[in-house]
Amino acid sequence: MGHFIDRLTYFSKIDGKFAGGHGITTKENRSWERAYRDRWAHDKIVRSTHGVNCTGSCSWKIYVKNGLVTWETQQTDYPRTRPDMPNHEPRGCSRGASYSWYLYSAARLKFPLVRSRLLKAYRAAKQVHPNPVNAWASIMDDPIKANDYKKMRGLGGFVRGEWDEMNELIAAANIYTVKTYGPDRVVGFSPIPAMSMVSYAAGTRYLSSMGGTCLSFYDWYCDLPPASPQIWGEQTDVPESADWFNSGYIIAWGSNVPQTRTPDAHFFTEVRYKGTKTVSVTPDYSEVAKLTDIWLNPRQGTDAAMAMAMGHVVFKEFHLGKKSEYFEDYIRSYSDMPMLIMMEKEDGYYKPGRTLRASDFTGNLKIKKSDNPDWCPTVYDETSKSVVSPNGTVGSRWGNKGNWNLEAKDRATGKDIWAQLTCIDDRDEVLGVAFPYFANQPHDQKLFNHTDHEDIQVRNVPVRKVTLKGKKTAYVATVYDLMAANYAIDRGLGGDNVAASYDDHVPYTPAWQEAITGVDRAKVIQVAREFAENADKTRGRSMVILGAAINHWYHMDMIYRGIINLLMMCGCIGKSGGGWAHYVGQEKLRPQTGWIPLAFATDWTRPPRQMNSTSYFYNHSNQWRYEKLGVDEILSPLADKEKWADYSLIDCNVRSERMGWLPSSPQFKDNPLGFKAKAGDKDIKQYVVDRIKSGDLEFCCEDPDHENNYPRNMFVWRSNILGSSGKGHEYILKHLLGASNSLMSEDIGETGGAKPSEVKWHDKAVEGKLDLVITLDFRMSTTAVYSDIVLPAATWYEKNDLNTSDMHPFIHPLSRAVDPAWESRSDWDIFKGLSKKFSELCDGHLGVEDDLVSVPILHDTPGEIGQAFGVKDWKKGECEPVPGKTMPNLVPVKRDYPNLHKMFTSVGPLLEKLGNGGKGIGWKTGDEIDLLRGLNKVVREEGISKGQPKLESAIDACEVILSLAPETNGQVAVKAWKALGEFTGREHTHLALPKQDEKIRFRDVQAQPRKIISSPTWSGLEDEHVSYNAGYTNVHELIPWRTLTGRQQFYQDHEWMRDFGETLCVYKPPISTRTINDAIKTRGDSTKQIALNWITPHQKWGIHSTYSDNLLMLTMNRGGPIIWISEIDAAKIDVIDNDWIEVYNVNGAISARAVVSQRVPEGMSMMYHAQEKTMNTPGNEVTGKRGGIHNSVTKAVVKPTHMIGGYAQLSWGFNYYGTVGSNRDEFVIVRKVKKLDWMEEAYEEGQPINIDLGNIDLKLGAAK
Amino acid sequence: MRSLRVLSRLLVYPNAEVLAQMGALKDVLHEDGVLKAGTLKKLTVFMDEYAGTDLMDAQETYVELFDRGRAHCLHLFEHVHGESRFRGQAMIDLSDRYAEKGLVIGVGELPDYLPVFLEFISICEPDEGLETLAQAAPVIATIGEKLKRQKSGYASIFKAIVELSGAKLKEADIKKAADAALPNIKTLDELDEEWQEPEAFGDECNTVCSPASAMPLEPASQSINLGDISTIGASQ
Repeated sequence: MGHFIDRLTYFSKIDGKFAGGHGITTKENRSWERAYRDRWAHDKIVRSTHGVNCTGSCSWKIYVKNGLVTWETQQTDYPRTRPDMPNHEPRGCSRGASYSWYLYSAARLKFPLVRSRLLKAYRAAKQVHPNPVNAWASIMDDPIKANDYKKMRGLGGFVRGEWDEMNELIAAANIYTVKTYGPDRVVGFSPIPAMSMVSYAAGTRYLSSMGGTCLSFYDWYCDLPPASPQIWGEQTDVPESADWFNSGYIIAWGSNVPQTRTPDAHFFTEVRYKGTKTVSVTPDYSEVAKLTDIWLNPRQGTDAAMAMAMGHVVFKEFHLGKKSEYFEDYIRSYSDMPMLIMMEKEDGYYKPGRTLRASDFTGNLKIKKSDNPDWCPTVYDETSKSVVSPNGTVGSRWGNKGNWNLEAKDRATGKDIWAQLTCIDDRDEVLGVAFPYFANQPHDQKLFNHTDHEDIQVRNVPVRKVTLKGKKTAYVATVYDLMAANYAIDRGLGGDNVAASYDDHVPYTPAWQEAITGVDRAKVIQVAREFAENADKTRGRSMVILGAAINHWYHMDMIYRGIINLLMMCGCIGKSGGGWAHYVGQEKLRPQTGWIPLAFATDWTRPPRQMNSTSYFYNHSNQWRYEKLGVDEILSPLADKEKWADYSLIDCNVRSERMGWLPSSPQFKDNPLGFKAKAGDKDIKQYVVDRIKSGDLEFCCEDPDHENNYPRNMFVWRSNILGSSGKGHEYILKHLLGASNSLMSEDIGETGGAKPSEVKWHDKAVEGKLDLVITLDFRMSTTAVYSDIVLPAATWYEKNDLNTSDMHPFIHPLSRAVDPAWESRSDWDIFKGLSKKFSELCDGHLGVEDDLVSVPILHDTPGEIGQAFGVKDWKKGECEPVPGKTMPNLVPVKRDYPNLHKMFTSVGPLLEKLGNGGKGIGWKTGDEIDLLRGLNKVVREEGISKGQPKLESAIDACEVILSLAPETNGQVAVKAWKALGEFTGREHTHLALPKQDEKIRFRDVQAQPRKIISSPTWSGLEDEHVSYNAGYTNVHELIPWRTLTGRQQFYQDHEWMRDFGETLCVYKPPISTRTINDAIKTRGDSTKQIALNWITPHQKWGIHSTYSDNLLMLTMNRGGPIIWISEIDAAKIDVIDNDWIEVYNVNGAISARAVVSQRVPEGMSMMYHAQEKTMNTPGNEVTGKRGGIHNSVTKAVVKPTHMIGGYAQLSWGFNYYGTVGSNRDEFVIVRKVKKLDWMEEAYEEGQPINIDLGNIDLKLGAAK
Repeated sequence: MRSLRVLSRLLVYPNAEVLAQMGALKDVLHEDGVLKAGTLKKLTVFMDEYAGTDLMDAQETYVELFDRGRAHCLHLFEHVHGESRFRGQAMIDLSDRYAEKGLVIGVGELPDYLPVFLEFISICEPDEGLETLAQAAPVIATIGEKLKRQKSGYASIFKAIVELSGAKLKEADIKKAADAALPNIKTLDELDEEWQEPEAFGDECNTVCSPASAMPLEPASQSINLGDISTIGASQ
């Protein structure tokens, strides 16, 4: 008890240590910790993302304190998808992590900016004409006044504008243009709706309710692979990146996965731990090359040759060699391999023609007239020993409902069939059939090899003889037998031009490709075999990730078809872990059908005016006037040269527009608002047809330099069209903008070349077609610099919107973490404000008007079975002009201009009246509109929108999308699958029924990204059992592909496809752009120079041009424009790393620093797109003007096969098919800069806009 | 100090009111009498010239000088924190300073916008205000130096501000700072050195770790110490 008092009950002594001596307590001053403790103290964290043109679609946490954004970090709360899959976290990259820099940076656009000369002119005009529209008219009526500000584009001279005044000026210009020239002269460009769909929709809703033109982007960016619509009737549908993890063999072909797919690259790495083999195909030693087991490096642009050789190996060993039962079943059921092709007799040989149709036979093979026998291709049925037309063809799609499916049945009788793949053992005869060969012409640049094979390769093919209508007989071969011959495989049928061994030097053997691509044949054989063996054993789990690098060539469809052939032959399409993975540039707009009514105002008026941008810019920036590629150069040796003798590329486009294939914009020479009045009692359509037929009314494309026929007002938003994506940048500056430019090409008038036959020629082309250019952006991009009015847009942390991607299955938001800084406004609010001003100002100028919209024959509509046999031009008297059949459809539309604002801000009545839908199916939407009445509340104000759901805020707009789309509203998904079931006669609703009651709302996605619901808009499933992969429902639900045959098509039978030699895949070498020639050697000084191929890959320090002006990214890079060249080439022109170089051809010129690297092979130069002209770009010695951007040395060259229309899957659709802006066949001259000039002096009045070719000591560009 | 308020007005986007009030603004400067005669003279010359300019021309000049690019950006932290993540926190700290005086920025501007900052100083007790202004003086002087090189009359405003702040600045330092608009690194070794991170547990880090020296994009490594403006808010 003695110690009882001494012992302390409560206290013990501090010894400072704990946890076994691992921890220690000290008493030092801890105030320094504030630095990081403060950092993690914030008012709120808001979920947003970066609406940049990147498929990453990463969700981010935005930290906000006192109403200011302090920084961002990656979100880590993606829902888990399926068991045994790696998760998606974290997604994001260094570029996104630096975004908050833009918000408060000096680069931020803070106030509306306007060209001061324009504003002065406008204010002066208003003194005389108080009505804003009249004031604008007075400026337009005076070319001197208009030119005064147009020529300043790109040369500074901005002042801040007031929102009110800017809205007034823009609306006045729009009203004037609509009234004077027609609504289709007001045009807008914005890309990639998926990245911020409401912001996109804001502009297109404004334009579409006005009748303005919305321009496409996917084709113009050359990210659209035309092979996809050709083969599948599908724009682009691909696996999510998580599906890479299901693959057994992956080839990354021209896709630099770790650099450009940063947040997804981990799946590519993780799957290797499961034993998956990876192969890269890139000409340079790229980042992906370092990551893979095998690197193949074909010469750039020759990938099709390697793909053809791989196809040769696979077809020979696995199909003819009967190594894989799986492959054989697959191609019989899911491809056109058994389809019958008619042989056409020529002198000494036969050539493959069109598919044999039911209507070729007496009695149409018992196919009813209402089932479109003209559109029913045929197969030979081994069971009945007769020719039949199977279920699933495009004829059965648009005929009597209920049989459009891939069941192996005769469409006419419903009996089971067994389609024959080859008639080799059952043949009537063996014919010599001709195949075109294109790689025997020397390229004008030695870089590209050729071989000396004949341009017509006749090979023996087994055929069947059939008796047709009128007792005619015809020879037919299966696509399978033609494929074997096309690959030049010796089948023991005798004859020339076939190879028995891989070492034979015959197109398309592995030995032959070695001569073209430079890749060791053994490696090519190995990869082809491994790829196919894996696919056989795993039933299709072989995949190719392919990208922009190989899609930006003029003959990209051959490269893509070469690769896709491999995938189809190996049964990989529609299989988990298999298939094609093309992630460039479209970024799946998952809730598409919910978004379309919002975006194109189809809730109020239909149809919208949509235009394919490539043809548009080719035409209106007058690039056709400088065309150096003749149609004869790309024609097949099997084509009738006479038939094409008078046609240039622009002529082909004009014919295409006239025949209703491609769209037109502007459409007709006269203002379409005037047709109704002039027609009087006559039907307006008939009135226009009569005038067109008589030649009294021209299509605008027939005379693009006439003042009635070009665009006048252009909106650019969410885009840097001039800085990133303007192929033929200098042509656009010169003709569309009338701005200072570096164009050094002479047009065909000056060179004495053959003039187009379908287009009126003016000796002097228009410069400065656009009267007003308006750009919305948060930064001063290259496009903004050239605009007349720049409106400050809210950043991605200052607005509410939605974001989806093809890389993952989630939908998630952009959120307004803080209010838009300074005077910026969201795109939605900007266009809403404009619509208000437009409605106010149109009084006295525009009322309720009658418009007439011309619409091309559209894919996924019954009209797509328009022109079954041959090409007939009504203008040449080959047929009658019939709207929607032989020419564009003509649709009368009422425009209610005074109510534009009311329409913009409410959901219109047409959805309840006509329903909604997409890709050929439709459903009712009454329930969803009622739901929106509850969610968004109804308009109470009197007028046309009374009682309709409100559409005031961006969140209202999000709810419209989410409620109407099957992907985000389970009830709609069930309706959509049911609607599809009516066509296929099969039950599909089981795919959505488990999620019928799921409805995703805006606040849900703000809480956490949500997985979308499976819908028939897409060909894959997103569910608990399978990763999203394209073609999955075609294979597993027997839904036909939306093509002529209803199957995946190896064979393209359209007349133009035959004329250009692309019925089957072949190798076509890069074209000669002739933008450099011998004359460059006369440059008149001793500086060494060299010609290099021009390659523009995606970069590491920016997403296109975004972030490329961000100092964080500039610091990680070289801080300005750079061009990569090889050590060998650098040595030839005495350039060392980091030297300033200049690059030029007749299209324009660039100044940049050289990156001299072992990565790059000899003969190649690479400039990452897109580096801004606004960043550290000095003057150029050749032109005496500031250096340009990567597109300054390019020019769009259009391809006739992309203009085909009115023909099943080869029918036009917005961003679906059409001409594409390829740019990699280009060559440039590279030389060291002698004297650097930063050109910092101010503009002096009278400086020349154009380059005076007489003053340049080089004569470039004469087209010989 | 009303002179500071005048200088603040002169630095905002040109508008008709400023041009019309130029005489009154000059009167205030004279009445206040805090500027040296030479400085006042130069400023008056600029103000006269300004008053005689066509409004839109003045606006065009302003946009070219201050609304585009970072060289003359009037947001002070652009020059101090640049792209660093400290910038957000610095702005918050500065608004806290304003809030302590019961002030909040009523229009859509950021707290580090020079005219805002000057207006704030003009409200403060002179001693306290000028001390704060002096902390920002090196940045302000550097912008002024760059404007002087552009032969812009706006330089006279910056000279006046620095003079009022009472800061003692070495001309050579300011010139050097104006030269170093972008990091002027010549060799790869210099570049490496610039980006070198200190060893986490090396000699320099004994019991109390000093915060790692900043990266080139952060303030401390600028070739000249731009003053204590980065701690203007946090110093309380």
